[in-house]
Amino acid sequence: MKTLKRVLGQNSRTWTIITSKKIAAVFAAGFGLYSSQGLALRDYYFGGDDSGAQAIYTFDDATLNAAGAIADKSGVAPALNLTPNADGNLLPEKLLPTDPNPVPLRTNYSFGTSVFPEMGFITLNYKPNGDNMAPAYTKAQRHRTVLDSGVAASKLNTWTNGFSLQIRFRPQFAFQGDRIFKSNDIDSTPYSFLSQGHSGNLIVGLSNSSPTVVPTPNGNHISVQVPNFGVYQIGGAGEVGPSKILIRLRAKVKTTGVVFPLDFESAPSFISVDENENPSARNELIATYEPGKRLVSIYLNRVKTSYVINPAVVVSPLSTARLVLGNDLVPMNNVASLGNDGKKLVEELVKDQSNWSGSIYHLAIYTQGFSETEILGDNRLLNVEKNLSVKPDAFSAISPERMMARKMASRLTGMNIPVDHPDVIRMEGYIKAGDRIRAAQVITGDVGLGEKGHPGFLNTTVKNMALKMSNRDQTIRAPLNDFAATFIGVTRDQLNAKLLLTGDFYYAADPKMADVPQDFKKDIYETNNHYEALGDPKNGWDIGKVLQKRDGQKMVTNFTGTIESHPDPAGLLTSRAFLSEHAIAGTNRRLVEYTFKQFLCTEMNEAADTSASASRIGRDIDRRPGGDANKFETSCKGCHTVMDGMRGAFAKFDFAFDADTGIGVVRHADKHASHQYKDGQIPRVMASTDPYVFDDYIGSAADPNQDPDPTATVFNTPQSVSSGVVNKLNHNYRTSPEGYRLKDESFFNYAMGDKNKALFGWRGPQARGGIGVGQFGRMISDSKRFSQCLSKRVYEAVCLPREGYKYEEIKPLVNNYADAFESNGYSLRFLFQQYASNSRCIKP
Amino acid sequence: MRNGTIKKPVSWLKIIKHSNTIRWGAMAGFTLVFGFNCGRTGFQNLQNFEIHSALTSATSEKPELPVMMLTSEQQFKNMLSVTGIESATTSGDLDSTSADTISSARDPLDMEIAQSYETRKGSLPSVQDLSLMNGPQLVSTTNLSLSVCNKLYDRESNLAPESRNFFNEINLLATPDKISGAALDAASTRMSRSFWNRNIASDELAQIRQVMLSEYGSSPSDTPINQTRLFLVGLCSAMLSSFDALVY
Repeated sequence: MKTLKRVLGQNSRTWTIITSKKIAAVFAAGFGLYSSQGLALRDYYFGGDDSGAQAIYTFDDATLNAAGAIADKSGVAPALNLTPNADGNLLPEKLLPTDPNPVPLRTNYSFGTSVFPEMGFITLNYKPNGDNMAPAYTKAQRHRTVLDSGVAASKLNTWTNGFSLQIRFRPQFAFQGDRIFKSNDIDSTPYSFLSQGHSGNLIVGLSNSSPTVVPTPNGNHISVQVPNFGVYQIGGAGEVGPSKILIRLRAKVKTTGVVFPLDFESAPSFISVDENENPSARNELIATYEPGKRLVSIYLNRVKTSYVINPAVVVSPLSTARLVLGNDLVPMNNVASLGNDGKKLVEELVKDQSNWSGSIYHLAIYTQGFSETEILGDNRLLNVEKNLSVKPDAFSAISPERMMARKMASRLTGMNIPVDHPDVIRMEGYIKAGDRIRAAQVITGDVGLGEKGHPGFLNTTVKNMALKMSNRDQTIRAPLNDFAATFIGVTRDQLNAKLLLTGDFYYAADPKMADVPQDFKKDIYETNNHYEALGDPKNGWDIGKVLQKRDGQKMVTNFTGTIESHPDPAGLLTSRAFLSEHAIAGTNRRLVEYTFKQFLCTEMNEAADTSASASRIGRDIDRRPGGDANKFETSCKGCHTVMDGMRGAFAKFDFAFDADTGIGVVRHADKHASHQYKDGQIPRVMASTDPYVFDDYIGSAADPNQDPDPTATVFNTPQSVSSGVVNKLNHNYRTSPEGYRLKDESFFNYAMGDKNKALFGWRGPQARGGIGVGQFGRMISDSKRFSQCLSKRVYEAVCLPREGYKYEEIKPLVNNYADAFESNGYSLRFLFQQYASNSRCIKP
Repeated sequence: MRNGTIKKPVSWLKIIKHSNTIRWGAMAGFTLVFGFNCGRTGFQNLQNFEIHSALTSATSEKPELPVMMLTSEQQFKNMLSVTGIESATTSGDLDSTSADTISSARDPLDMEIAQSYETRKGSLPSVQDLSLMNGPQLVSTTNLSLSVCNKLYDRESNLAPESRNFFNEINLLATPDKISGAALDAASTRMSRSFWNRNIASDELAQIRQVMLSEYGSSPSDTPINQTRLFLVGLCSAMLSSFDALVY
């Protein structure tokens, strides 16, 4: 573990900011976890050693004192007055703790100015050497402030530009609780206290003057004095105040720790670079003051380096230094004065810069070198999938009931559970009492009984069942995705399984419980980052525990670039995973095929009906394949009547993937703009990689509604939109011009012949068709076949039949349980319990 | 935690490279065959029978045909489950950006397990079909089990004998030749209960005794603690990667 080296002598107080994620922070912005449940939840989420912050501020409207300042809940420090900087500089008159008229806290602070919109910071009037500050290394009581009242804390809102930190604020933002800072850059570096040079420039530190950039002469190291750090005049006439340069080092684009000596006595201060990030450098900085001079000696790599401070630097005394939070960017206004070398230096720095954004609601100030875990506890310990250490009882027999219990447990959890596991012993008792269902509930859990269940049930068995359904290869060797997560969540919460195809919600990790990427656009909509991190076995998250139901499926539009409500939600059918597998390219027939396969357990050739109407079969289907019309009538037509009849439900959906960026997005004709082009124009899609944009062929001037002629256009990706229907559904129209031209989202159920009626058991208001995916999902989920299919899937997951087993032999069992499933609110948990307790499924 | 030290474990790589490893491999192979129910004769008609005299009150259960093979992730979780290792990450995170950084609160052995799984998971089973079990899978399973058993040993060695789960009667400070037959039987029986979900058969115990004590009871040039460590990690790994532990 990286520790901060000694800083100052006894009488001095030290502010130390550590940028390496593993180095203890002397003072930290603590973003603790808060909840409306008060102390109980605080205890749950916090851990670590009992050492204390010197001051804790919660930006909570409710804690404003009469003067409008934020009170320190620790009772140690003075009230905190938050003052946004208007121009990047401090406003001294507002900063003194004795200011009788502090600026009241506002709920929205914008960072940045008209000149430097990207920079700025809020200033906290916590005066470093104020009388109320406890001396360094004093062990104070730990104060972990929680929002006991449950009042939503005020937020200091910043704009989003570039990387955003994972510190967002309830209730409007997902909350990345229990972390100091979490950078949401590409590296997803966790626990970055001060965001690294390449991942954001959030700074917490002292500042009091205009920004200045000071290059070093040797070129090997970069020293930059940035606006958030105090720059103190050194030497020369008119020198005031203490004289220490506060240096920020950048070693290999990583920002190192910086020490802020406060009284600038003769004792040197130094920092150490995170060895893990820069193991060979082991930079140490010792900055010393040479009175009367503007020469500063800096020891880097134990080599003394000297340089001259730019005389134009404006310095301010320590007395006006204040604690600041904000964007630490290298300003550009001084570049010209730095000369070529300086300019290169700045350019090198600038390219690493990015703004941070987020909301801050809590600030804790420590004066000891604590680790992140000590300050914040370890959320991970509470929310990973944990095993019990079971002491085998070597000297006792294993009763038949115990063996049965062990088998049930193993089948339900997908792993071997030791025969001496307490859960197995409990199950043994229930089995001996003749209650196998109750025994199964020990493992599956049950909301009504308050039975928590074994994590393996949701994290392995249910997850694997869902994963198989979520991808085209039907393999469990796929990363977790939104489809599987929602399936697990519905099972856990014992929701009606029909909501799997009709619900307007999805499941994702509760940001207070799992440290996974949480940006909706970047990590859930455009990629699978969120779920991959959640489901990675190395990370060990207890998926079933940390999942959170989020009402309202969402879509990122390219009209406004904002996140909007989904226009046609349908549970898993409109999940990113399902659409990425089946709505990409093609003609959206695969969506129907796989809906049948996964949710009705029916291959398309089983549902084929050549006696049904061909009126909805598309123009791209050859009516005389190989010149033989009979072949169409007796073969092709059978599947296409069903598929083509129903694919209209997905008429507005498409999925586009950009291999260069790895971004794949669901597109909807109502939510994503199109780029219109005419004959002779190369569609933008050929040159652009913007997956959000449909390309809309608008034909020639003479016939703007004409479908694109594949022989005339130059594109091969039928991504364009026409009349609100994704054009790929109408491509290759010349194959059979007499065929059906899809015009809207209507769909018809042509699987209504006698055989299919008996097979599917269509029911409900949408049995014959409808409009849109939501109603399509309703049609599927209302059918009898849906229940039977889920029953069959659970049978396969629990009873583990051999490959190629004879379904007809167990069909009565499956159908019986399907009926019971419907009678019990379509609870998937119920199904698992029933099968696990059946001796035909798990033989004693 | 603030003053925690970074533990330097005996890496499973060191175990692999140890001079006894070849013999361990033979032992593992022996146990794989052994654990394929082949050590039990006429199992289909097998009734309860007594095992070793020191444990006469315990009886074995009638073994049965396994149903399915554990897939890669299931094997990983299974190994942690049956050995009682708390989780894949008892502290800290294991993403690639931090794999080389260790906080004082993180156990390197946990990271070793995770790395071993990450390395091996491609060759571990992807389906549950028993008929698709093959040699490379078994080798990968054995490797993974070594990491897990290393952690198990580490945990046991930090506990008083009565608090341990498996090696209660074994003096971990002495050389393997000091391990009595009874102590070995007890450890094997406990591991059988947890890993194989049944009591061990007497002939299985006899075979373990014969192989372990006669072949590996001698003292190579290593510290007694390390010799015993290798001995027990080898025994654990052989049982944890045997057939009975890979199916359910």
